Amino acid sequence: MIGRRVAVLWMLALLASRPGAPVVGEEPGAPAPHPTARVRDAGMGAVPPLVDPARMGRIEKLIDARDGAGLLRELEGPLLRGVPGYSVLHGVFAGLSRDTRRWSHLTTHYQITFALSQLAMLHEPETAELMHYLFAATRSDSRSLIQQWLVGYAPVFLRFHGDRFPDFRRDLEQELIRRVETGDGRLHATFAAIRSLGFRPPIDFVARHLVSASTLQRMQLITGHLEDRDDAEAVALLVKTIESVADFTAQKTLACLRALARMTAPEAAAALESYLRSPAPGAADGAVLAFFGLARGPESAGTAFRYLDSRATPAGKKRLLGALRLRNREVLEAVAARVGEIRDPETRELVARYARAGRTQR
Amino acid sequence: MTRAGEAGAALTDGAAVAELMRHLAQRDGPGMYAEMERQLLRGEDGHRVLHRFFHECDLDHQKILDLTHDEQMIFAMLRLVARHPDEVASLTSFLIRATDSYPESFIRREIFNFLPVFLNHHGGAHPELRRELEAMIVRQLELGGHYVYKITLAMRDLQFNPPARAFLPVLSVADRERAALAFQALVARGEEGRAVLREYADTVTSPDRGLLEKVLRELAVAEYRESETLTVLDALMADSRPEVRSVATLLRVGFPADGELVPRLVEYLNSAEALPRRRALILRVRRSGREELLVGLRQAAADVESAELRNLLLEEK
Repeated sequence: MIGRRVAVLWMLALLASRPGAPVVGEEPGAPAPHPTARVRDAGMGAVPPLVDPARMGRIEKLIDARDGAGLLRELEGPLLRGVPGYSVLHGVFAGLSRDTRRWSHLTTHYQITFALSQLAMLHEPETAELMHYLFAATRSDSRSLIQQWLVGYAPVFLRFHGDRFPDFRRDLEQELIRRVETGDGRLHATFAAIRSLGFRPPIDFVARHLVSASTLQRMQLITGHLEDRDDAEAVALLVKTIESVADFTAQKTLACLRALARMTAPEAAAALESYLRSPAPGAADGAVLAFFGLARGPESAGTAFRYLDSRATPAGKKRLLGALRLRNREVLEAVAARVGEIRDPETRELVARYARAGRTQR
Repeated sequence: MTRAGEAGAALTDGAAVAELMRHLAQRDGPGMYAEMERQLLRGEDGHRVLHRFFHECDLDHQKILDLTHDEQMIFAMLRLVARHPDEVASLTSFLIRATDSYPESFIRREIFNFLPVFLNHHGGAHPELRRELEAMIVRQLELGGHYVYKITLAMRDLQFNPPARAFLPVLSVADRERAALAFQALVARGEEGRAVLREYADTVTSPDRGLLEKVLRELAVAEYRESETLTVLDALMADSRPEVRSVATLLRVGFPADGELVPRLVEYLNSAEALPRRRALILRVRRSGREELLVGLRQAAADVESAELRNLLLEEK
């Protein structure tokens, strides 16, 4: 449960409030008063992190005491001093990232992350500049904890602010593209950042990586991204992939079918329906499992009934009935109510058995 | 108060609520921020709108989960907290009062989550709100301790220790997890907590057997540690409530015994207690490793009326 509390507050890390403190900045979508280009002009990351042992000592004590308000006051000065201040903060964060315990407190303890959120939300342009600065300074090190921290938080910040920090957004997008290309960093974190940012890489780029994806994790992350896009273009890519693999038992095909089943775009429903009715070997088997992988209403019983009354294999029918028992009891009951209409006696027996087992599980 | 009753008392501006719902459905962080800010700055009228919005989300539970878990929604609300801390404090006070007779409200859960962190961050800036939260904690416990884990976290963060007796009603709720958390909180309170556990043991009428056993064990261990006596268990072994008597007797065999215990155990074996529980006593004695107790009982086996229990007692394995 503490984890949940942290989860709510973690994303505030790096981000506002002392009562009565002046609010700096514009509303989301308005141009930033301090374009992040200022950071670039100053030579992003070119300034080495500045180590100030006295400040570091104070900050460590504040973190150890979980004194969020004190930490806010300590960090606010450098944050408002522009690039020289960012260099100081870079030194602070770099030092803390080598201290596992304090880094963990900095990035997850709710009193600390709350304070950082307050600082950042009161000084948004400066926070954007600082993040952009740190992002550039740590870019060459995909294992940098600061970089991981930024990739976790910056997309949420940038999405909220729309077009307010275009330079930073563009740099982050490029970095995410690079990570997908090279496999640097944690792939799951990269796709989570793509989702948080609401970033839509060119569809050709996604297509290329879906074609080359060879691990189940990579396939699922890419099809998950297409689910998020949830549009005709994404559906077309999924269909094209299914057709090109031409094997309805392949993991990639099944991942594409599951993605189609979760999408709301009308093209997705139409595509899935075509596989449900397809005479191609295995097509209906994969499609029906993908379709009933989600909770459906009893109005979907006709789809299950049609499959069960088809020439599908007993193994395929058992897999569907198992899926219905797991997530779609109403559908299972609706099918069981019409069990006498199923032509094959063995299938009738199977349906009755799974329906009885479903009732017992309740 | 019913959920519908609570909503009815709080509502005015349906259009604003619809607008907030729209932003939630679209996960529109800036839109949510702008509309919430507008309502927040209207004072009590706006607070009522926000309360209704939160309440309607709670009724359609997935919506309150979306509101409190989606990144953009959280960002929007925290930005509001950062930029308008005094107004957020007023809103929170309003929400505490508005949900006072509705302890299961998810709004209260989120207040326990958020408010201690907010108050600690702002030091002594909102003393009245702090007192309201403390009173809310006591009230929530009196009403059965919904979200008791969140309450204990809030107490820890506020360094607030309500009277241990406030936890007493939570021990008797049907929700085992909640009761167990109340038990742990009382154990952590030492002597003061044990006094409440003793009151529970003395007054509970239809106890959860598992919880009662934990309570009696805690009381017995503490007493034995301090004075090498077991007066609590010994007294409860003769209690008029069968459940309490049974749990106390079964627990008693785990502690050092003198010769007076054997006749009391035989009495239990001959009582109207369900047979499986009487069997459990024998099995527990055998497993306890207290050889002298087992020998004493076997010597008194002839006094055990049930042949099945007698045989079980005399069995070598």
